[in-house]
Amino acid sequence: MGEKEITIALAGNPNSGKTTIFNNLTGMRQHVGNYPGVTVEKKTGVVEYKGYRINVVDLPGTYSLTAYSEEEIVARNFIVNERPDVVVDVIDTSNLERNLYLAVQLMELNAPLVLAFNMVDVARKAGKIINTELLSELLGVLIVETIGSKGVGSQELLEAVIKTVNTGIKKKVEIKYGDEVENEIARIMAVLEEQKIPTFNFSIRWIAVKLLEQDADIIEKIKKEAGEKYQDIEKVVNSSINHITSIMRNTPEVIIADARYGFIKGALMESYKEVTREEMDRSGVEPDKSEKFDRILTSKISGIPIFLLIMWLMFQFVFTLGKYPVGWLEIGFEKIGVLIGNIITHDLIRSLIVDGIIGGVGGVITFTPNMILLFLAIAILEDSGYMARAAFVMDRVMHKIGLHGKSFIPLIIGFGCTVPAYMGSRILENKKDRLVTMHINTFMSCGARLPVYVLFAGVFFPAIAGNVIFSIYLIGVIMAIIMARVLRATRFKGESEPFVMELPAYRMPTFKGLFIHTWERTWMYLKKAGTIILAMSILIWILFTFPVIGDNYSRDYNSQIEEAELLYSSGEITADEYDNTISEIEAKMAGERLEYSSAGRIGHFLEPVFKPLGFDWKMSVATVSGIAAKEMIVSTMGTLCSIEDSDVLSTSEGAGEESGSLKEALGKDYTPLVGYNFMLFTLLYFPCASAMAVFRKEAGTKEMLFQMGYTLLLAWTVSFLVFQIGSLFI
Amino acid sequence: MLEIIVISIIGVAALAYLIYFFICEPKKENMCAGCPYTAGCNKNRKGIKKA
Repeated sequence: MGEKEITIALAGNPNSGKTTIFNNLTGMRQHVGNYPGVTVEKKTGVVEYKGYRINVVDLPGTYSLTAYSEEEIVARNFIVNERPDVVVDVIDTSNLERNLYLAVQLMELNAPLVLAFNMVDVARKAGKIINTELLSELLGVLIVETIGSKGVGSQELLEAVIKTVNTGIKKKVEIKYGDEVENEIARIMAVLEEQKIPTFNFSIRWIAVKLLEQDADIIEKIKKEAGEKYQDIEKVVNSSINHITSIMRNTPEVIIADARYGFIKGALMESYKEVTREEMDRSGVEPDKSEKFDRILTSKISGIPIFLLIMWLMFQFVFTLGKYPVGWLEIGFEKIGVLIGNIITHDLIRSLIVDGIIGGVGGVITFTPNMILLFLAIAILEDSGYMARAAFVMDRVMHKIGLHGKSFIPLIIGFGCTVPAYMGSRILENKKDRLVTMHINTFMSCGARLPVYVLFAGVFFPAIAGNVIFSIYLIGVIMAIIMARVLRATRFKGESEPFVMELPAYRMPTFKGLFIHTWERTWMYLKKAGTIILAMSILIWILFTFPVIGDNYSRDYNSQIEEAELLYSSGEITADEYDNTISEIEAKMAGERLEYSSAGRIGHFLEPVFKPLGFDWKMSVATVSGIAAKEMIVSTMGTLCSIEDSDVLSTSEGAGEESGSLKEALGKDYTPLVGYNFMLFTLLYFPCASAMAVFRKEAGTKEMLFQMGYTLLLAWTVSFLVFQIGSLFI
Repeated sequence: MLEIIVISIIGVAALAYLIYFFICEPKKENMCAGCPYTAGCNKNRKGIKKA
């Protein structure tokens, strides 16, 4: 009378003590056996508690919810079709990882879940310490510790059930199965939606996952419902399975199971203390290979040094191996420039193609080998499973700055490109976490900045270029950490929400997978060079060329050239002196020509702002052009150098001569301090316009303006200090 | 003069492309290209295929 009725289903692995819990709750005396499979069919019992009439259904014990056995199908269908108010998953605490697999599958079913960590006494005795509070928060479900054999925890379990009934699912946790599988899930979901296939109370994503796993029960159901339409679905599913299998060298079923275990492992890494080594040795349990690697790679002592070492090796690899093909491409573009210069007779058109397009776009394409190597290194680290470990290692640091290690994932993506990194921040559900992550992501030096570093480090620090580039990346990471702390203490106060960090199993990357991942990113880089960089290079060239100086030189340089020629022909000066004089005059003319141009005027207008950093007007223009795309910095310097050395727009003869080397020009015009400072400024000021557009879309105009403002201020301040203090010593 | 006309046309085309890119491109659905979280992302319920 007036009693509320609740139905709870008891699920759990065979031999997890489920039946004992059932007996404790209901006061019944079902047969309990110390071996799996005691519950072969579902049994029901009733318990009255605090005005609730609670029907307890004991489901057959299952290791998972795949359709391998009748028990699994019975359990799954009961949960989905009968929709119990709460599913209590009884976990054998001494075998957490394996038992949580079922819990994860129940979470995927969106079942309202309570976890009963049974036999905690046995686990504790074995030296296993679990932070159930943290684990509960990570998984978004209530956890109750029980000792079935002593009847401990039954009341708490009922309390948790009532609480879950009243509050619903605490937090929806969605497990990601990795890039390749997620893409295929999206494809299958799209075709299921398109064909309007009923989902039988399951979520459409769940159905898509099951189809990838080739779940016989679900396939049968869909076949029945879809009729002829099933052929289309089958076609997509088969192509998805083949795609995943060919890239990952494993069936989707295995990959998905790995991802679930990765999720569990990540959650346990945070909340579960491993038994000590001595205890491990005593018990004679041998850790698997993955655990052996993890002990070293994610260790508190060696984790961060190994991460730094891997990053250092990566940049050595990118620079050292990349410099040879880069050199060949440089020569190639120079030769193309000379060839086109000799073919085209119209001065302006020739300058546009040679100085503007080849100098600008070619300057960017030249660094493609470095980009390929960088993307390949990132792909190897990602595909092998190390990136997730890097995020885990950084988790400790991230916690100290008020962020969760999961924030490090978008930050790592930022090493490739800031655009997907900003979008990747969506994985953080807490708005403050997300905004802080986005605001510091700019310091994770994107691939587009690499050509700037390769160029400047190669010119000013040829012997230690790899180390210099590494130092820039490292400064970026340190700056991100400092700024996160500052932002957390000021604009975005509050605690970070805990998340589970998936730790996938280590895997040997496949050639196909590496090729696809490297090529995707390289293609985006080349596409950018052929589109935005090309358009920007044309505009930059126009700005550097017009208005044409004509006869408006401050001096009559032509007379000076004629005078030098006369002196040389009369034998008053040697050939070397003549060449030097002509070079000096031409350099002065080029300087005036550029300064007279629109870009020159803009540069001079901005020069007072950049002068305290050691930058001249040319660097100022390059910095501004870098707002469109960071590669434009190299492109602008290339165009500028090419125009400066080119005679086509001057009044002197000899058009189409070989352009001087950008590297030589930089080495001549700037000191190593200015070169390093310029790299620092490039690292710290806000990313390109595309990234800012995405930032605005993700976080709003106010946050975008804040990002632009604070990074500019920071870049200026740091560069100012480095230059001013550096000048005292160098 | 012909050179100036050709360069003007190329310049205007380049400018138009950039305006198109920076204004129109972010509005496109495929902005998620490259994002590893595209498929399961809340803002991408349509399940747009990653480029």
